[in-house]
Amino acid sequence: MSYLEKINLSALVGMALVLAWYGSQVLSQLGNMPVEDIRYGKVMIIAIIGHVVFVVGAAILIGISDHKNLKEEAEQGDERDRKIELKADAVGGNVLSALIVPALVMLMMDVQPFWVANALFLSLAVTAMLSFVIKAIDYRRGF
Amino acid sequence: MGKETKITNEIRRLRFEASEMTQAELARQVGVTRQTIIAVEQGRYSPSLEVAFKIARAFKVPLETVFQFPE
Repeated sequence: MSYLEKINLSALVGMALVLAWYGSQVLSQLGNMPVEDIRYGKVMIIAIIGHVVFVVGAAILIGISDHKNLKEEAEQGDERDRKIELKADAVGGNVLSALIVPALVMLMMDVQPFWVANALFLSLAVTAMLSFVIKAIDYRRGF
Repeated sequence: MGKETKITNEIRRLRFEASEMTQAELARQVGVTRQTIIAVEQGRYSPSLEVAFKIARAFKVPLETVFQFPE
């Protein structure tokens, strides 16, 4: 398994953990209190930064434990890695474009910021998750 | 089971005939990672024309000796 494939899998796991944590912190409060009282901003920022820190930490640990692959990939680059990345980004970009529309409609309809912010956050998270899954499949199955 | 391409190849045989060249050595000569050579060899990835020519050059054989595209 290549260095980049390992990073991708750790990013996928990290995103799943972040979404689960966010859901437990914010979405679980739905129904218990009015949405305008739910403090989601801080949790959302922690979730985003948490994912970045998780991926960077994983990249460092994988790099230390798998320095042979890292050195090889850093020296040579790889067309297959680039193609896998491009395909996942293309699909992710299209999906994100579609998922942003509901958030735009919510804004036009003056829906509460809680729903708009969460629609945008989930759009980004789902898109990233989808890209990680596509890359994981392409690395294993080929394309 | 991986998704195989229609293009077949003789890389494994050619490596064996080239003094059992390792995948890592072939990757180094071609300028890709070992994982990409493994994927090409197993038919899970069709390389670019440039990489295909480099692989053929590494074995000093014509492209058609390495890769085939059956009817």
